[in-house]
Amino acid sequence: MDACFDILIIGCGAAGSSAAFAAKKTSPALSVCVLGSEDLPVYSAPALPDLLSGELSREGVFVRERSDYESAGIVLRLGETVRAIDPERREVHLESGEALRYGELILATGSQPIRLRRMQGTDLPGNFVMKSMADVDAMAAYGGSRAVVVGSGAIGLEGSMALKARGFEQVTLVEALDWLSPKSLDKETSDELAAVLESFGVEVLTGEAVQGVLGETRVTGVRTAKRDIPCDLVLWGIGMRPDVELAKAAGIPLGQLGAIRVDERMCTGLSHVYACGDCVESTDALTGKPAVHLFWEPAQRGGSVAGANAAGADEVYQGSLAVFLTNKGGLSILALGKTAREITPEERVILQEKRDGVFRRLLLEDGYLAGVQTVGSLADADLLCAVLKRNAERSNGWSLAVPVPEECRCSVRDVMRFLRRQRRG
Amino acid sequence: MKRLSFDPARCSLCGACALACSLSRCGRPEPAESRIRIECAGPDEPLRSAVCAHCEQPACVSACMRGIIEKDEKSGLVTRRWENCFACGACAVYCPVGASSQEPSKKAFTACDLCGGDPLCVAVCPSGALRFEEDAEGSARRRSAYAGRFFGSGGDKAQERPGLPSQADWERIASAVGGRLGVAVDPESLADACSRQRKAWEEEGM
Repeated sequence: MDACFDILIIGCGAAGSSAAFAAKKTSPALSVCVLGSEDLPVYSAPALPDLLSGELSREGVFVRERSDYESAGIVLRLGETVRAIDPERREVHLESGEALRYGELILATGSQPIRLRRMQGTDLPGNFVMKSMADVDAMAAYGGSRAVVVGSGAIGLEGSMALKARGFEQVTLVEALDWLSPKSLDKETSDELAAVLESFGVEVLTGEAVQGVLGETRVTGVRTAKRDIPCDLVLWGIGMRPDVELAKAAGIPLGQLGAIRVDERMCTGLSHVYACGDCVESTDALTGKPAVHLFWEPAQRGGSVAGANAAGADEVYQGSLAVFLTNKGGLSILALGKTAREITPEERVILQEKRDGVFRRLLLEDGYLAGVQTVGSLADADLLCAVLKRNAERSNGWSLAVPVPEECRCSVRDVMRFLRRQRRG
Repeated sequence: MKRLSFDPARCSLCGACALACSLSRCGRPEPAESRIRIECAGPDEPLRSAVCAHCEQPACVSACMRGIIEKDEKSGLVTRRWENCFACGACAVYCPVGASSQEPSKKAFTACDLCGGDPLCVAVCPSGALRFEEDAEGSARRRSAYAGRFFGSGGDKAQERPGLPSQADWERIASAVGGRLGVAVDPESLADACSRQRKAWEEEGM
């Protein structure tokens, strides 16, 4: 007789774990089982750079312990790989051959780092990604003193700082596009950021596409369009891709961005199947458009909604914000909302200042705050984030959004003053 | 549940709440260590308090990348095991009221924990601007104050800010802080530190 669970969750990351705890909280009598492919309970992937740098201990990265699941009455099965889902029979088939039956299924399969398998040398020892604890362990065991970090998203930025803090003599960050994190930052902000990275000893090269990894038996260097950079290891931080293989094979509909499409209750297009976390396509709270947000916050919140609803609740997921946030090891960056290129020049006002070591760039669209980029401090982050969210409701017609008056559109200081005054009570 | 409530019309911006908070947190008068902040956007602008509201659905709980912020279902308190904070700052970005900030001495992001049920800031507030009261009580009071602004004598104009604490007030504040911390607190140096706090808040808003 196959094991049967009222709620079966595939994935034991932030989304899957929150789903499990939320389901139990909603309806304690239901049986809940979480399957994890790694032999570890949920840990903080955003904390992995701190593990690499040595700032955090291994224990310090975990969010929950095995015993937490146990005491909540959740069945935790780690080190289990799922081979297939059979939605007709409501079964999940494990690699071991075992089949588990479910009442409701929650997919929290996460995302995978993008690898350039066809590029020369990317199969050599010395190529690393940073998605799992095993990746960090492997990098730490491999050693070396010179690293090339490819890509300038959170992994690239935090990874290069972490390698430097770990004691690498030479760390070179290579970005193929014209400046750092161009999806989130304007060039001016990137320049500030590059200066901070360089002050920590990280060499920054932008506009240089990597053409291949050099080495015979192991990595000895990286070739870009402009030069060869000798190194012992390469850390690839060129993006993440939602892990939708199981869903696709089971016929669960994907959205236009290639992730699992869910409605506001986190239901997929297939009955009795929910999804949450990095593998789903939800709504961007600022633009109202479909979005895949690979962050902790939407994973955790979406997981809670999926878990509660699978257990009989009726909760709604309100979409999420694209938040670009790094605050560690002397590097503090926040980017929210639109970049300059996403606002038409006629409607755009850009204000920028650098005061007391803090760089701030505010973008107004049609007079409304639409984008924020700061380097050096998170002060006022809450205010700016709250205003952006409020302004995003502008299209609803009933919103409380208020444009920045003409006379205040002269400087960052004036805008901040206006926004502070607006926020009463 | 019982929460902190703030009446901007009664606040003189004296700074005693923040000073008491930072003294009890780290033993010195250090505005950055306080878990309550009064925001002042200009001399005639209404004041605003930035302090944890122990929200029903706290944004910080799902934002926290370490899973160390929790909402206690029974007490309603939002608590955090800040010893394990790795200062990612997400709680500060997502908090709708600006209640979470990095305490330099702890290297951690923290927020008001209501002093375990007897908030020192309320005990020292000389003008009654800060209260610790049941939700229903607070909302009834706010409703009547709001109605009073429209139908009472004052209208909805900005009111004049109440005067700063008297010598006798400072003595009471010093003894309340001293009593809680088990040390002697000199009223004059307390008043001095508070005036520095007030100036810092006024400058922040400029």
